[in-house]
Amino acid sequence: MRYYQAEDNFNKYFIGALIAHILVFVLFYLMQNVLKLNMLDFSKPPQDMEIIQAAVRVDIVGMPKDTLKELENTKLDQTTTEEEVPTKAVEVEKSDQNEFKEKAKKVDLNKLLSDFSSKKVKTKKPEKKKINQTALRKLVLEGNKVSKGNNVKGDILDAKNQKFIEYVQSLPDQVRPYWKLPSYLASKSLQCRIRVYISNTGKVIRAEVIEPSGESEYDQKALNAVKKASPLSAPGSEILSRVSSGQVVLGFPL
Amino acid sequence: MKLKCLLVLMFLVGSAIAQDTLTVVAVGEAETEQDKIYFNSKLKKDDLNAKQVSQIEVIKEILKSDFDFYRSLFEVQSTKSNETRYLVDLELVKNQKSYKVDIQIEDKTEKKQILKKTIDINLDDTRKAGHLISDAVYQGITGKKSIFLTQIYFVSDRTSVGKDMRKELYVMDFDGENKKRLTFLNTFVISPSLSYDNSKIVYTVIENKLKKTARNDGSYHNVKNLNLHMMDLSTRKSKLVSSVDGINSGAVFNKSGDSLYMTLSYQKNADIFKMNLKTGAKTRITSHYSDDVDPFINRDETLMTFLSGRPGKANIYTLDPKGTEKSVKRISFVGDFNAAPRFNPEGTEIVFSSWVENRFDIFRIGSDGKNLVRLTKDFGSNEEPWYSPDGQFIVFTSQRVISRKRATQDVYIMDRDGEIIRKITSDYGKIFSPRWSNY
Repeated sequence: MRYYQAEDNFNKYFIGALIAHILVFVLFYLMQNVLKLNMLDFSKPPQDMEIIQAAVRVDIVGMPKDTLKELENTKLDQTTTEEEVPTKAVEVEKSDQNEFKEKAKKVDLNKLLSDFSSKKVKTKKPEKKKINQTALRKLVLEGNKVSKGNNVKGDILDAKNQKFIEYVQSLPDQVRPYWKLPSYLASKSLQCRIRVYISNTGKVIRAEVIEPSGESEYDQKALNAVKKASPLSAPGSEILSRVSSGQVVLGFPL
Repeated sequence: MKLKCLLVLMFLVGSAIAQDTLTVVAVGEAETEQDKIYFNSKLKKDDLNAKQVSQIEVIKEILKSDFDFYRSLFEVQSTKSNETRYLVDLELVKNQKSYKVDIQIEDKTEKKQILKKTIDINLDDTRKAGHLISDAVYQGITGKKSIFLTQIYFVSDRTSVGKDMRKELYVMDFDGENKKRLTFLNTFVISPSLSYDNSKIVYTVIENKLKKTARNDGSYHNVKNLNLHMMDLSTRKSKLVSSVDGINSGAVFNKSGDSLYMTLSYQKNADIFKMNLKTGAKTRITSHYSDDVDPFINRDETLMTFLSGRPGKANIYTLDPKGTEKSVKRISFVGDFNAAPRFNPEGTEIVFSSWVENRFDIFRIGSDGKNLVRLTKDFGSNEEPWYSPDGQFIVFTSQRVISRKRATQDVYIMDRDGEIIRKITSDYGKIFSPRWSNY
């Protein structure tokens, strides 16, 4: 009997102690997070100093390691080499250079989760995709991405469009080596756009200035660049109709 | 049939709509083409003596060397070819005792003559003659002034005797030739700066100053003081401009030349003041409790950049010099120690040096704090950058440590994108503070 009573008491005290502990924990939690009191960690500065700390943190970011020349050279290297990029990782690849590592971390987490789950992950064959670095191009291609976003409504076929965009994205690298201007024209910040009609072999059948710059020599130099770059890489048969009907416009420079 | 027509019509409309969805892709900025230039020299004449013939040879070399600075724009050809864009005909014309050079430039692409000009030259002042021709050709083609007639002012320690260090002010042509000594003070000259019309130069000298002793009994003692002097470059005569207690240094002229922006430290910590040169009146520009030094002002006096220790490390700031601490903006947020911020002539970008991995390297940043780029790397320790008056080049000093006791410090020129053009001094002592003259 006594034994049972002792057990009863033990249970009572145990529950009491448990509640007390929980209360203490909740109290601490409230003080720490709701009342913003720093009870435990004295190494942390008070909350109102955080702004300064943030400013100091910016300080720690280093000066650029590479010189302008080096960066220009690496850009050229990257635009001329093709890299195998799995379509699954396209999003990662598109991420800006300046973005924080956190994004990569997220991807890792996703990968971990997908590995963890027993579901089979659909694996697609890696596709060849060119990496475009120039900010300028990125800007315009952002626009292309947006129009691709409309596909949710069921406008255009996804795969075809993807192929088309990939092909279009590959064109600047082929034309740029011939895109040269004398200094007096380069400094004028002009712009023209040229519509190109491309045959199945990649030959430029026709090129017409649809938005002239106002400076005929500039337009001519741009046209010459397109003509000199011909033949371009051959478009696939599934996008030939779009490419040969002049849906591609090259912007010089935008 | 109607249905067929309708279908055809629909197809046409459909294809027309499809045609409207154009995909624009950016090719990007064009690469600047080097224009090929050929000097068709008819400078040699039968009646020239041997000395004059060699002078003509020097002039031809100068033309080549000068245009090599603008190598991003021009390529000087040794022979005429189909690719020649600018054909420059040079002909020496004797005019009684003096000589003239007839310059004619033909643009082969545009198929028209773009310059026909005659300039007087003095064959005995060979280098000047060469630069005059180069400048006329450059201006004829680009319509802009070149750097060929500019000079670089600098400080050198070459007159030091043993441990008795001396730094004096010198001047040379932009290509490092024709060096001349300007000061004979046998002391330390630091931070020179030229007026926009190139007529005056201010510099700071470390001098002794009599100061009342702390005992306040009327006795004096000597203290070192950094005093500001100004030299009239036509007469080479200097006068004392500012000698308040402490630092009177880092002065730069405003465009009109009536005022200086400078660092003064008579109130213990260094601050930047504007001093009217006629009245001597000083206006406070910065008033922070940390040190503010090294002001540099843009041409229309709307923006000043300076170095401040207010974030804890020396960083670059800008402000509106029309007030005190007006519109202060921090520009650089990185680097252990940043120094010598200098605007380009347009005031749109700032070049500065920064302490990285145990040496200084040169960086460039927009005046709005954007587009930070590195210009030098693995190239000695690079300091004190300064833009050329056309904004295309940056002059700077580069130090090479040779042994524990010996290091050289020479002047180099690079273009604004960091392509090293040339080393322009050697064996002329350690060189400090190169300053490019203005137009």
